[in-house]
Amino acid sequence: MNTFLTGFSWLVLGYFLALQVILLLLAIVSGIVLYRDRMVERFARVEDMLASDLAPPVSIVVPAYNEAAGIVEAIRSMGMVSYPRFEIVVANDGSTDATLSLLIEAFELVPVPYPLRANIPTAPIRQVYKSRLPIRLTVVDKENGGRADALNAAINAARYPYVLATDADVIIDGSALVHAMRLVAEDRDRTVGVGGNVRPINGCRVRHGHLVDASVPATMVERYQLLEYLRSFIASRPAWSSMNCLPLLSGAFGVFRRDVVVDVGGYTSGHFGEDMDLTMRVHRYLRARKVDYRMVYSPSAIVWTEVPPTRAVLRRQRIRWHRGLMTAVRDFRSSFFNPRHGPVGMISWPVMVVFEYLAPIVEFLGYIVVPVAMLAGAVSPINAIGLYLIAVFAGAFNSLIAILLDERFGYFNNPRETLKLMAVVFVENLGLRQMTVWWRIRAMMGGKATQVWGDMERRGVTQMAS
Amino acid sequence: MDWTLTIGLVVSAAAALTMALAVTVIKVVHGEVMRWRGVRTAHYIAAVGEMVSRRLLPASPPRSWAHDTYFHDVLSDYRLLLTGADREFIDRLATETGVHAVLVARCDARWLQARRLRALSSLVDLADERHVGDLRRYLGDSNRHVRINAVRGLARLGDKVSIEPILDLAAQSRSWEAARMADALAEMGSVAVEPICHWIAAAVARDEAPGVVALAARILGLIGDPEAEATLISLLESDRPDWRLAASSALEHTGGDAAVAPLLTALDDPAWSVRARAAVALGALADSSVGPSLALLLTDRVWWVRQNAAEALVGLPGGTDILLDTLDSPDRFAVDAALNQLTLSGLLGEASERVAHGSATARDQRLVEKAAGRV
Amino acid sequence: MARILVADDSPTVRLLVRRHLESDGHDVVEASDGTTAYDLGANEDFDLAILDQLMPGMLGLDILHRWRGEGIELPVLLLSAVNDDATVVQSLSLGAFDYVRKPFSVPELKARLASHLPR
Repeated sequence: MNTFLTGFSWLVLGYFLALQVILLLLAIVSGIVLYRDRMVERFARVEDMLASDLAPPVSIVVPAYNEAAGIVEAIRSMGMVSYPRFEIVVANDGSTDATLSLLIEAFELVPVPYPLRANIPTAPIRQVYKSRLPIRLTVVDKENGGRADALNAAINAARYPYVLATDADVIIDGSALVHAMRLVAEDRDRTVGVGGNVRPINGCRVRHGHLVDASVPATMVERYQLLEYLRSFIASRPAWSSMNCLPLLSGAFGVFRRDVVVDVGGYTSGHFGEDMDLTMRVHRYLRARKVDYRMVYSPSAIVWTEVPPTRAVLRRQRIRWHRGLMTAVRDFRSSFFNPRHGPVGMISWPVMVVFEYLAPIVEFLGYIVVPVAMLAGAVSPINAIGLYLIAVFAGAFNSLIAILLDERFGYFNNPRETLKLMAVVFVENLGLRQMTVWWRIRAMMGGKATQVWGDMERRGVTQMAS
Repeated sequence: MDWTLTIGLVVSAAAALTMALAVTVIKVVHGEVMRWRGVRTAHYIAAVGEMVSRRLLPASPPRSWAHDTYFHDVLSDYRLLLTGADREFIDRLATETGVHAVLVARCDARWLQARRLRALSSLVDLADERHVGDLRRYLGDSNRHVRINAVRGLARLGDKVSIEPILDLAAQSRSWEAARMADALAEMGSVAVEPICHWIAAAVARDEAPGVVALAARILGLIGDPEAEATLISLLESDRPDWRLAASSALEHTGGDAAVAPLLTALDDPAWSVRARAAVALGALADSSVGPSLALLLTDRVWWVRQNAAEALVGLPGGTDILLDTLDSPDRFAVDAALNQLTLSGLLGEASERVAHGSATARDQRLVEKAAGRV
Repeated sequence: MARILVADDSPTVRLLVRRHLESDGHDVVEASDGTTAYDLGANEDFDLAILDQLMPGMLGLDILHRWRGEGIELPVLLLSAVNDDATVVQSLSLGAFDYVRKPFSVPELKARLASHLPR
């Protein structure tokens, strides 16, 4: 028994060390990618693309369900994105509030006999509207069918060869689209998707749908999420992208080639993680057809989103995410260590399954087994504490690299802001981490407590007071 | 404690704390560098602004200026911002302070690519005829950003001789780089037309670089000079769909009467994208006589072709009548395309208003009724 | 003697325009981003505003649109490197009195401003 306990304790340590080594490698590669990317940006004059018909036209597709609080500001601000040719397609997903009437009034929408190509089946369409203002805006009014269904309807109505899937409650940085589409223009034949860099807007100053000033948010729950976003978007995705094995293009900003989305059948309705599902299906579909393609990540395509400001909302979101991941692990089990699925099958998906999907189980068991081993005398308390501290320090080291790499974007001008963020690196281990582990365990246990379709309360991100 | 654990603990703790310290130091240093850069730049902006306003060259400019990247940046800024006599003054100031020699020397360095590129992007903005030779040299550089910037510099200086070598270079480059070079050539305007047409003729004859031929046709469209018409028409009559597509798009901006007949033929092209572009081009450059031919495309099986044909008709004299007549067509798709354009162009809105005010014509009535039936 | 708002994210532009306007005896207030420019125009009295189109925070056209929506009839000139006709047409239809493209010549800018400035 004691041998088992000791062995298991070492296994937990081994698991964590392996995870940290992988994260470190990803961070190093990400650093190199970010540096190269900066070179291109400075010297290739990306902004020249704005004046060029090199820039492929893009349809921005936006699902909207009960977004009356901020929809008009959000669409107006999207209309101001610097890009030569784009249109906005909003799918009003059977909102029960004033979303549609506000849009009709603000953008002088007129009903049009628009022949929708029903490339992807969706809930019934009630009416298509177009704006008479200079802004290129189409609104598809449809019956409620969920986010994925609304996205599909908007993609049906989109006229351009690329679609940018996003949300009505995000703020897209003015130059995000040009940066993302630069990657398409660079390799037009192969690029089928570009993901954007999602950043929490909590704590930032926003006026009239534009970011004024970025700072570190006020509460620990929000700061913890900021750190998580940096670890993922700054210190991991650039590396995944360089190996062409991104397992996920974020729902808040994902450019796809329209025909590819249509070919794979669009987003899956009722899925908890429809963005990961779509990304993985595109990988699987193109690999199966032996198409030479790439899906990449643009660190400069920045989009701001409000992350859950309270524990209760965060809990719902995390349970939803983990259930999405569980479904994906089930659906894409054939990708797990599958050489025919290329680097996704051999590298990123196994990492995702072993270190993301299973992490809560291993960590949770660690919190139980190690104390038991301590009581049973199999592991000395001092060793157990030492083991835990190693995990903490190794994790902190990688998180600090993420903060360091983020310096490239220069958002937090005051060193004091960075110190606040650095404190989280250590403090997160005193409860926050364990909290999210527990939520994910709950997600895996299933049951009534995890019926979490509820959306986060919409505050209207563009209306947020300074 | 286990000795392995002890070592692990000490190492990881030391690493984490060192990293924390490093992040803090880098953050502070970065802040200071940014501030220093701001101060230097503000200093140069004020100094150069003063000189421009007074048209006064410094008697003996400090030699450090020529070596200071921030000074280069400020000069480029002013050079790009001003025109006329002010711009000439900036050129004189650059020559007087000896900036060019420093920039060329930095570009010629073999190491520090970032520094090379920075110098080159300033040189591209500040160069004059004396640097054409240097820029031509950089066309053969191993760094792709250097090559693209060299093209930009040569294009800015209007170096006609370089055009054909640049197109040859584009033929060996990746598509994106080739396209960036093409964009730069388009900036040269009409002087580039003749060498580009010459290059296209040669490439077609040699059956080489088809992708760049299409790209070159695109440049001709961007320049929009009627001199290019004959070359584009010959591409429109070629057997390559990508050439026909590029040519029909470019003829929208360059074509004249001679282009109408070949574009009408292109309305029957097997490639739908060529039909769609030819419709747009005809809408832009032809008269009402092409109306009936465009009307036939309203029943095309491709959505884009129908939409483009309808859009072209809206802009054509008498085209609106054709669209109105189409509303009686048995072809549902043609009716949709016509109605869509009539709505977007605002004609339906105007007609509805007249109906509401009782001042409607029979045509208005018909349009509104038709629309009500479809919407 | 007029009070003029100059909004541009490029310090070079601000300095150039400021120097020339001040030498004519005008009073210049600078804004380096869109939001500041919008607030200044909404809360203070100016005789004229020169707006850049591409600014961080808020675009020139967006500012103009909002001012007009709030009944602020401040004469506006757009000074911008954005060169497509759609933007020019849109700014004029929103009520800007002129659109000057960068690169620009200082005498030309002055001439275009002259008729809108009090003697």
